[in-house]
Amino acid sequence: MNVDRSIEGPLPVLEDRILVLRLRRGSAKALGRIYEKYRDDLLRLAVSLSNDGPTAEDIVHDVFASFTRQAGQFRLTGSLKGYLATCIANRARNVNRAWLTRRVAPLDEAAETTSESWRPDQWVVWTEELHQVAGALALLPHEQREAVTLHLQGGMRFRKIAEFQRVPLKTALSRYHGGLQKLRTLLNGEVTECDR
Amino acid sequence: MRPLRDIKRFVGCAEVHSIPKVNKAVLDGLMKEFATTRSDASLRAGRNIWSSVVHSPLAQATAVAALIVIGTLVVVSRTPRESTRRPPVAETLSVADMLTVGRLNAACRRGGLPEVERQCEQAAQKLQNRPERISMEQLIREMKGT
Repeated sequence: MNVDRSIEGPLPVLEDRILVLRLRRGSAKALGRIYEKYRDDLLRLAVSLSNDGPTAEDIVHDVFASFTRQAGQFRLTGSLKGYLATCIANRARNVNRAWLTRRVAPLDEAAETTSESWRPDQWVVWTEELHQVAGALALLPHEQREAVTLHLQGGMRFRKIAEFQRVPLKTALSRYHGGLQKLRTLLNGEVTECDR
Repeated sequence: MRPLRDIKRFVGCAEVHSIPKVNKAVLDGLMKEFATTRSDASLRAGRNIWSSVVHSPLAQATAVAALIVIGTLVVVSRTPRESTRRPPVAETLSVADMLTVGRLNAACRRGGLPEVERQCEQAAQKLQNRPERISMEQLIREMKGT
């Protein structure tokens, strides 16, 4: 397997750079374009990482809100999709940790962990495939789930995933392959052909 | 068992659909936040420029240097120049000194023959004030110009 293969072509990356430059100069249209371009991908990623609709919606909304707030100082060093995917994964990780904490914390402390930002009513419509995938991913250990979703849905390279998880490249690869093998067992018989 | 390629494809192409109305509502909220952030940022930028000027050591050194230069210029402009209040040649020199070749040459360079004549007249005026009788000591003093 070629580990460093390019998942995004040069043109989308170039477009992203231009969008970020315009955004830094105060273009609201650029923000709208970035939102339209990556919204669904990020929602899917958040759903796969959290296996919960409202949580995923909160995560994506928070990431976009935070991105909007720091748009003036934002500097793009790699791929924008990779950056946003990392933000989603970070938030999902925090939410999962907070959820685990809430299960053992008293109710008054748990209130502090909830998001204060505005929430839409219902944003995501789950497809049957997404139900199956998110359900199967939820049964994987968190590290394997991250590696699989960030690579297959977030389009991140293994090198970046290893950096994000702060593990050697080989560990990230083995987490990915381990997760994929488990998914193979879990999804066996449910896998249908897809157009892409 | 399905090949891994199929699993990858299945995970990769599991789609999510979002409700367009909510999409628009979220985007509107983001746009509002973006506009607020931009206006706050421009205000902060104004304050930051002033703050960076005030707290920068380079700016402070420049300000001190500018104050010193301005102060020096003020003092210098208020002090009358040495050359403007320099007494005329006739007041400081003796008659003999006024009429030396060097002094007359200098007078000629300053103002031509009229200046030479003026210097000679000044020397003559000095000589006219002398008393009828004069002692040797007075004569020597007069020649020295003291």
